[in-house]
Amino acid sequence: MRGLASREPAHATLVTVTPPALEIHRLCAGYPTHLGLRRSEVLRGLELELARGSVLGLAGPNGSGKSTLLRVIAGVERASSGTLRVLDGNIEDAAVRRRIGYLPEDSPFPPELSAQSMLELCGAVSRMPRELVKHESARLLALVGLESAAKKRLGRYSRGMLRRFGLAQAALHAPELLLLDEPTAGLDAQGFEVLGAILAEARARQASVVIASHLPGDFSDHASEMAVILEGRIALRGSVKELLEGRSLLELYRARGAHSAGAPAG
Amino acid sequence: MILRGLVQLALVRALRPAACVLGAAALAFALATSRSSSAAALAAGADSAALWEHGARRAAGWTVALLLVLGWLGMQALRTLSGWRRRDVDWLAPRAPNAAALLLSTWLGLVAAALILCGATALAVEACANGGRASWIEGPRAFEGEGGWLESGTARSERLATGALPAGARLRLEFAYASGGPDVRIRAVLADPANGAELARSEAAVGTRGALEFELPACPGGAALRLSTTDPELRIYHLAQSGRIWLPAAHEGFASLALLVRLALDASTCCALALALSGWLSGAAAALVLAGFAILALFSDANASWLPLAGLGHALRVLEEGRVPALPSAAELARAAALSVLGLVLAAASLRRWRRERA
Repeated sequence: MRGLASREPAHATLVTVTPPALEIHRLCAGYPTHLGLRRSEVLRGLELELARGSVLGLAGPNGSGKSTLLRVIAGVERASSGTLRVLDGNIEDAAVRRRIGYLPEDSPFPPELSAQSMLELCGAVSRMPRELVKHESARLLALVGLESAAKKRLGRYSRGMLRRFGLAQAALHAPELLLLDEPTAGLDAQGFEVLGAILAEARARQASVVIASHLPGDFSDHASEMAVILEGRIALRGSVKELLEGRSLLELYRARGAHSAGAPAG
Repeated sequence: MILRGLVQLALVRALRPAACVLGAAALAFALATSRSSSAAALAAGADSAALWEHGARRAAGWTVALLLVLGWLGMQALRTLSGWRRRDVDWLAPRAPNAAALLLSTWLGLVAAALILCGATALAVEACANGGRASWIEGPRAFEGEGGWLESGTARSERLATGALPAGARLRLEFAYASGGPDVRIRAVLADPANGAELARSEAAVGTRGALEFELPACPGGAALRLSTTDPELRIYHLAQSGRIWLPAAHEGFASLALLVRLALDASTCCALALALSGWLSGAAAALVLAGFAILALFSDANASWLPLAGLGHALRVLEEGRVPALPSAAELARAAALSVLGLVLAAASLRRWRRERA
């Protein structure tokens, strides 16, 4: 188990080890098929550990299980088997879930509400004090460049604006674990700066971050590590530079796919 | 406990402009085309013809409102939990919301929508009914007993179960199941129970089903009613349970106020039950159960008066005569509250697991 030693004075004799942000062992998740008689597993015995304060880029082809993994960690989907410890707690525990920030893949926010109303609702659901919600929503809307559109209904937002809003709602309650699913989909150049600002804030408060994306460029500037998920398992893990070595992700998938054809990955 | 954003969301979703415009068009059509039937005009007589004309318009407007408000809000409630599970789960579930707070807030939004829709209907109906006459409001039951057969040569005596009544109060007696001829002539005599002195008398010929109504004199000590029929070989059943005292109402427009309260109350109860059904059944099955329940309740008789919506069918029949239905009793309010709480609790229990396995 990897962990970060807390910053104790040099003369201290007791060294406490901070538990990892994520501890996942043999995780399986999927959905029933054939009228519930069979199951199709998307995650197949996945193993992953993430140290506190680190930023992990998660890459993988379509259907490899990136989004499912993030949904299971966020408590949206349930795992069918395996062990999942999030922030040293059980994901079924409401107090643990409230320490997670999640940007879903499809921005499924109610189109009838304005950005400000929606952030206030998110804050209320998360049981944040009302004054704090007001302050944080105004600050975050300014940070993501939506302060002038704060009263506009989300249904009138463009895709890029919705992604920026999604980043703001994920960061609203200063989560200790931030899960971002395809955060740059639809973002313009200014949007990339917004993502950088949100991640900088997360790093500053020692939050752990998982960024799932098809494009390594989305996380290469921010991630301390990268993992490649193939067929529901972590197939590769290392630094972005080390893994890519000038190769494209597609070349990496093909190389790994050929390499692991005869043996289980992960 | 109450999430204002969710109240607002449920309200905004229930008051979608397109749905409101379509509903308003249907209501306008019903109000513009409704007329009192010639049979109703004959039954009403010259004195009450205008009241019946206004009542027909009110009944048409409120019937359309009943179908649209209950159908639309019921559908909104039925879609709420599946919407949360399918779409909103992505931003709701990670925040570990309190299921009771979510449901109570959404239900309050639907209740607010019901009040707004019923209020708008009342304003539109009263603007079109154009009635400013005095009328009668449905009062308490006239008799405690069950009723019985009225046959030639025998008289039935009933004790009026009322105390002091205001001047202008009326007594309506209901009869049914006439047999032996085209109609039965009934005589009702109201007497002072202390000395037997006659206070009032009325006669009417009643067909298969009908009513006899007359103005009550001042009878602070109560009154005894003697019913008899003179026709040989004929008999008819006195529906004592349906006998009502009608109290004077200063304005016939109170009818829309009574319908507003009844419809908003029943819509709120139905929304809570719809939330519960959709939590445990598929959308189609929940809709079918709710629709079956609504039809059963709307067309039920007095035996099913505990059901929500059961009072609405009767209230619409009262409305047709230009009269004012009674406001919901304390027992009806308590029943509605109990059913609403039950619905919300069942719906909250279904949210223990946010997302069912994907099929």
